[in-house]
Amino acid sequence: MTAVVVTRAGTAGRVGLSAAGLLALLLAAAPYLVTSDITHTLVDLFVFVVIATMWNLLAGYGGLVSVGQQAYLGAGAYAVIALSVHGGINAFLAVPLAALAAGLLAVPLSFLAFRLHGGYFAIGTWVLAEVVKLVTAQIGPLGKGSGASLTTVSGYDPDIRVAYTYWLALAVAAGSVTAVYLLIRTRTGLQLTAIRDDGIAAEAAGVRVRRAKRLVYLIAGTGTGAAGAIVCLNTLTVQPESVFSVQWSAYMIFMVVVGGIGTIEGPIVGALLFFGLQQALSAQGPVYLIILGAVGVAVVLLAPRGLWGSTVGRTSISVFPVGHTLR
Amino acid sequence: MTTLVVDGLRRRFGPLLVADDISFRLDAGRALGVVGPNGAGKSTLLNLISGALRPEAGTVTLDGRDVTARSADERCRLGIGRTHQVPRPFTDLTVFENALVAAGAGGGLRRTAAYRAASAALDRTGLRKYANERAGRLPLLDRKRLELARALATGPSVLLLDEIGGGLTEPELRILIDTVIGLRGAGLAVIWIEHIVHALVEVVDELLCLATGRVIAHGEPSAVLGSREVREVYLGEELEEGIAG
Ligand SMILES: Nc1ncnc2c1ncn2[C@@H]1O[C@H](COP(=O)(O)OP(=O)(O)O)[C@@H](O)[C@H]1O
Ligand SMILES: [Mg+2]
Repeated sequence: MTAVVVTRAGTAGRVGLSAAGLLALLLAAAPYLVTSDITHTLVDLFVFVVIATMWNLLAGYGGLVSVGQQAYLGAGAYAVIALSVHGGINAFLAVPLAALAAGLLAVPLSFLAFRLHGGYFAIGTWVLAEVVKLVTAQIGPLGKGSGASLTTVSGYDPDIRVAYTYWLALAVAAGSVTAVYLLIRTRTGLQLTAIRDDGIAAEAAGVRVRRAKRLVYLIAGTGTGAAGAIVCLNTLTVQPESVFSVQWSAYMIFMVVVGGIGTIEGPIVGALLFFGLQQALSAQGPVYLIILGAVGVAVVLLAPRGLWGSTVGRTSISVFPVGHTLR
Repeated sequence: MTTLVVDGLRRRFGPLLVADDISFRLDAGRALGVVGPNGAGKSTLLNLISGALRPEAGTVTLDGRDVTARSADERCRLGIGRTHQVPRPFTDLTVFENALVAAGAGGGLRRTAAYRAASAALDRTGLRKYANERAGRLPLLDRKRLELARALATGPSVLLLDEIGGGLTEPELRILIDTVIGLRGAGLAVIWIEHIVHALVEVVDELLCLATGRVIAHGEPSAVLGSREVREVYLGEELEEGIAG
């Protein structure tokens, strides 16, 4: 039998991965180099990277178009309050636990949501998120409809607090991208892409479609929960109407679609663009929303595979190579 | 030795009966050809066997194990590999990765073993030269070959083929016929739906003719083709051509 040689990454991939690692190290030094106003703002960017990466995993690889991921963002944010303010756990250490709590919430919700398909799944996830919000807003210790404050970090020097939050957010962002990248490189990841392309053909090829989708749903819930926990640390307050807002889903869809769905790089590009637009224009009020909409429409019309997918994604160059090349 | 037993399969689409009490058995190393006019229920039969569709009544048994309640992916892992009449490639994956999905999932193989099975499936179907192309870029005939490659990469004991020969030139058809004969010789049980009757009769041990969901003839190919019921169903069209060819 002839030798079968399969390679996973070209030179471009190795350069890209090294560059990404270097960038993460550089970003880690930011609290020593720039003011805490800047790092405080950059936390938003990292949150965007996390939620876009997770939504892309869900929709771009799992084919699960959810409009209800704010359920997990809100759950993660509220879990920090519950664990830290009421449970006495250090607020920063509460972040991984809050992510886990959001992931646990995804287990029962997945059984409800997975009864639905396509457009019904999208609407169903939104309805579930509304239910989670309504239930949360009934809980007295969590401040009911008016929300709660993260009082347990008031002892920290503000600069130190922002720096810790920043590092945590950077770690969650780098960790999310790395985790999704590693997952997509595995056998399961390849199967996910197959499911996204054609679920029926995937089943016919022996892929456990349901199991793979549930795995993706649980990972996305956990990751989005971690983002919610960071949001809580960064804003120091949570309100049902803000952390459970469907606006988060709109952000996720915008970033992923504009950046390039079904690629690892796309959501990062989308998050950068969205963050930039928000920084430049959020003071403008309605004009900001109009420009966001215009950008979205323009990209969908001119570059249907998103900014990354329609440019670099068309070449064989990839920062995060996941393919298999048969030599 | 693998045996596929289909017993009393029945399925309706609305008022339309598309599988009406279909029964047969197929042993390892044997090939069954399925013919019948368009809309007779041939693809439906394949879907019922592969698990893509559930029957209202009847059972599918593989090696003495009743798989009627098993999902399509489970049946694939148990050894039922199939192609689709209208190809369904994983368009964003490469041709090699398409086969790799099947080797990993359906075949339960990992790494080198999976690479080897996928690569062998491409060699067998003549797709090796397109291994690193995106499957979405393949023309129709190569998409059909990819269907076969994917089914083979799962390492099936029962292979279900749905009109993979249409549109091939005579030399290409020759290659396909030899491939299927080779697979049957290697011990696979093969069910092949095809309108090109002269190709079928070269390969199959028995022929089954469906019309409006019913088996109207089943047995020795020459006997089936010669039967009055079969000739009436075709009203002298495609099948005549096939026999003439
Ligand atoms: N999913 C479906 N829903 C409704 N009717 C269907 C479906 N699939 C097939 N049919 C109908 O069932 C009949 C048999 O179809 P099929 O098995 O594809 O026939 P064949 O493969 O013999 O041409 C046809 O009349 C077809 O229109
Ligand atoms: Mg058909």
